[in-house]
Amino acid sequence: MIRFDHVSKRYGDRIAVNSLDLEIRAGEVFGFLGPNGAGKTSTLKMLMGLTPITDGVITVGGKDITDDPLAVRQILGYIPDRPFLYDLLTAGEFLNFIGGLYGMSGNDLERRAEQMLELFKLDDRRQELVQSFSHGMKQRLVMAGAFLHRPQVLVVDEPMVGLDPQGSRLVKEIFKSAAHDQGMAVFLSTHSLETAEEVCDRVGILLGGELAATGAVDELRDTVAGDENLESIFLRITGGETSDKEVAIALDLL
Amino acid sequence: MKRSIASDLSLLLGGRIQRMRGAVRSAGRAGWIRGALVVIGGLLFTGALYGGAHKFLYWIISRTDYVGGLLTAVLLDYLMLIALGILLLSSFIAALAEVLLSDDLVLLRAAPLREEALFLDRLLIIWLQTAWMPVTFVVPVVLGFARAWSKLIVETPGTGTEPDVFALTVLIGVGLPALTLVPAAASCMIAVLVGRFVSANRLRNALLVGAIVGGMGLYGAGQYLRLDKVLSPEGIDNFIENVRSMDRSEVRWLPTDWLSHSVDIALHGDLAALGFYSDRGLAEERTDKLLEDALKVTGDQPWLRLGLEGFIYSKRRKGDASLLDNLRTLSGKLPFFNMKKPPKTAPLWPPFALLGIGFILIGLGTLVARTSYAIAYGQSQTGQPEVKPKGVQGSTRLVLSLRRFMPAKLAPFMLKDALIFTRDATQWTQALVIAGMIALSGWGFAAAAERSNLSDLAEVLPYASVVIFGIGAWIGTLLTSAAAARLVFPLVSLEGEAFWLVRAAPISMRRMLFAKLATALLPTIILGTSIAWVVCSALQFTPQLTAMAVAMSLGNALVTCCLGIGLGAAMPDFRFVNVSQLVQGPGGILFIVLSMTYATILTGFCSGYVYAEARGTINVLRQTALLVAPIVIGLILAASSLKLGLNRLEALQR
Repeated sequence: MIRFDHVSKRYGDRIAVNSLDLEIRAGEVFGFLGPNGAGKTSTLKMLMGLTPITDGVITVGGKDITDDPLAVRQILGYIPDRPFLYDLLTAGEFLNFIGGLYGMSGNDLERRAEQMLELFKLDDRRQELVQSFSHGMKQRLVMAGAFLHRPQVLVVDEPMVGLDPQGSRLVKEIFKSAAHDQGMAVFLSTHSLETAEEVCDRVGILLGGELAATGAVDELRDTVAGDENLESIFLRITGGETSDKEVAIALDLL
Repeated sequence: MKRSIASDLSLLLGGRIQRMRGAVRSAGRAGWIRGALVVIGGLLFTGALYGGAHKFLYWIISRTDYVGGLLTAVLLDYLMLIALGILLLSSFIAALAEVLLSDDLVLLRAAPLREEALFLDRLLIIWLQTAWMPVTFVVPVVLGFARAWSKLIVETPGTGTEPDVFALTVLIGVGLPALTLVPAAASCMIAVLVGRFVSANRLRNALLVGAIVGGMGLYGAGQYLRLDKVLSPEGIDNFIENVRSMDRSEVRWLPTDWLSHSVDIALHGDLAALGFYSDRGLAEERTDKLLEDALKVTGDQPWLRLGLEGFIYSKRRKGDASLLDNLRTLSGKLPFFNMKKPPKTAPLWPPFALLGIGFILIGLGTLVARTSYAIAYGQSQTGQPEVKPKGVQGSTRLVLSLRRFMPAKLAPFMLKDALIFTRDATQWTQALVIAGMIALSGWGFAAAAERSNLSDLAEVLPYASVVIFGIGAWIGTLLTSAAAARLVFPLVSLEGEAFWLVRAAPISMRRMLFAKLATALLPTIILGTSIAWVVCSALQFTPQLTAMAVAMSLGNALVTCCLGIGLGAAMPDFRFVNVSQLVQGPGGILFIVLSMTYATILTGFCSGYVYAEARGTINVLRQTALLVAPIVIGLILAASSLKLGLNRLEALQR
C-alpha cells in the first residue's frame, strides 16, 4: 500500500533520510522506531507531502505522491504528534470542516461525525469549543478527524503523547482493528517500544536516516540472539545502551 | 544577590539581539530577497507619499486662499490623530499579548528576573512594534508640506515665511518618537493593571472595553476637528474666532494638536498672527480677487450671493451693502489688519512635554510592575477558557444560515472563518474600532454638509469640489485599506498552526486562496461602497460624482482584497501571538504600502477626471486615460499579488 523507493531527504548538507526502501502492506500496523533525529518525522512528512522529497519515489495505493498529491491525500489520514486545531470551533464544527475538506457533506458527514465522536469518547463534547479540551482530548479529536473520511492508509506520529491509560488502550485497539478488520495500512512512528511491541505487526528501526533493521518483533528477536524484549533489541541495534559507568558519570553532573 | 533592573534588562535585550542575529543568519537567499523587496517597497512608498503629499498640498494651498491654509492644518491634525488612533489600538492589543500571554513568559517568569526589567523589555518591544507605522506615514507627509510651502513662498512672496528647518527637525525627531512612546507605556501599564484585577477568561472583554474607550476617544477627538469649522457659513465666524484663539495661544487638550500646531507654525510661520499672508497688500489683493472671481461666475443671483456671503463672511450682515463692502468690513475684523505682535516662532515645548509624559508613564508602569506583574501574570494563567460559545449563539446561527449562499466547494473555509471571526475577540473588536472610525468620518462629513451650502460653493469654486471629492474619496479608500489590513490581510495566517490540516488534505491551495478571497470580498465591497455612498450623500455630491465615487470604491475594494489575500498568502506567519501583530510584519507593511499607494493613485486619477469636468476643460482622450489607468494598475496589482500568494502556498504544500 505504501512504498518507499530509494527515498532521501536532505536539509542543506545534512542528510535526514538516506535512500530508504520500505513497503507497508494493507492490513498491517507498521511501527517506525528510531532514536531522536533518526529521520522518522522527515519520512512521515515526505509521505504526507508536508516536505518535499529530495530523491526517490513514494507511492501510495500505486500512485506517486508527487505526480498526484491530491488523489493520494484523499486516501490518507494523518495524526501528527502535536494536535494543533482551531480552538474557536466546537468539536462538531471541526469535524464538519474536516469532512468538507475531504469532499463529504450532508447526512453522510453528519452520521459519520457522530460515529467518530462516539468511537473516540467525545460524543458528549460535540458542542464544546476545542480550546476547553485537554491535550489528550484534542489528540482524540484529531484521530476522529483522521478516521472521518474512511482512509485506506493511516499515518501516525507519536500517537500516545498526552493520552491517559484508558485513552491509550482505546487507541491501540482502534489501530489494530482498523488494520486487521478494515484492511487499513497503519504507519506508526513512535518512541514507545511498549506500544510498538503491543500494536505493531512489523517494525522498522531507523538509524542515521537509514533503515537498520526491519521485520516482525519475533524475527528481530531471532536476529539479535539472546534479547528478550523490543527495548533490548532497539538499544542493541541503535548502539544506545548506556553502561553503568556512563550512568554514574551522568548522575555526577546532576 | 538580587541583580539590578539594568542588568536584567540588558540580559533580556541581549537575548533578543541574539535571536535577531540568528534569524538573519538563517534567513537564506529567499529571506534576503524578501527583505530587500520590503525595503525597496518601503522606500518607494515613502518617496511616493512625499511626492504625492507635496503635489496635493501645494495644489490646495496655492489655489484655495484662506481656506487652503486651514485645510492643510486640519489635514495635519487628522493625520496625527489617525496615527494616534492606530497607536492606541495596536499598543493595547499588543500589550495584552506581550505582557501577559506571550509563550516565552513561562520560561522567563520561572527565572530569577526582576519584574521591572521584564516589563521594560516588553514595553520596548511594543514601542518598536507599534511606532514605525505612524512615523513612516507622518514624516514624508510633513516633509511634503514643508516643500509645498517653501515652493509657494518663493513663487508668491508674502504668502508665509520659510519653513523653520531646526524647529521641524526637533518637532519630528523628538516629537514623533515621544508621541508613540506615550500609548506604548500607557498600554503596558494598563495591561498589568487589567491583568491584576480581571481574570484571564475576561481579558477578551477587557479588549472590548479598551476598543470602545478608544473609539469614544477618537469620536471625541473627531468632534474637536469637525470639518464644518472650515467649511460652514457659521464656520466663518468660528474661523475668525479660531484664528484669534490661535493668536492667544489657547492651550489644547489633545497631544496630537500640540504637535501638529507647532509643526504647522514651523512650516510657514504663524499665519494666524500674520493674517494668512505675511504681506498686507497681498492679502487685500487676494481678498478682492476672490470676490471678483466669484461675481464673474455667479452674476448677481441673490441665492448664490447669500451662499457666498455665508461662505466668505458672516451671515449677520446689516443693510444691503454690496459683497465688496461686506468683505471689506469683514477684512477689518481679521487680525492681519490690526497686526501688532511680531510673528511667532514654532513652540518647541510639545515634543518635550510628550517625552516627559512618556517617561512619567514608564516610571509609573515600572512601579506598577514591581507590585502587580507577578499577580497579573498568575491571573492570566489561571482562568478557564470558555467551554461553549454561549455568548455568540445568535451570531453562530446567523453564520450557519448564510451557508446556503456559499459556493459548495468554498463553503468549509468560508463557514469556518466566519464562525471563528464571530468568536475571536481580537478580530471582531478590531472591526468595532474600524466601524467607529468610519462613523466618525461619516459624521464629520455629514456635519460639514449640514451646516454649509457645498453645492453652491462647488459651483463658484471648481477646485473646491475637487478638494472635497478628493479628500472624501481618499479618506474613504484609506479607511477601506485600514480595515483590510486588520481583517483581510491576516486571513491566511489565521489558519495558524492548524494549517497542517489543510496541507495534509486533498484540497488545492488555489481553492483555499479563492475561499479566503470569497470570504473577504463581499464584506470589503459592502464596506468600501457604503463609506463612499455615505460620504457622497453627506457632501451632497451630484449623482454623477456619487456614481464615480462608489465605482471607485468598488474598484478599490476589489484590488485591496486581492492584495490582502495575495500578500497575506505570500508572506504568512502561522505562529503569530495575536492578530494585530500580523499586520506589523514585513508582509503587512508591504500590504499597507501597496494598498494605500493604490488608494492614492486611484483618488488622484479620479480627482483629475472630476476637476476637468468641473472646469469644463474636457479632453476625451485624457478623460478616458484617467479612468482606464487606475483600472489597469489595479488589475496588475491584484493578479500579481494573488499569483505570488498562490506560488508560496503551493510551495508550502509540496
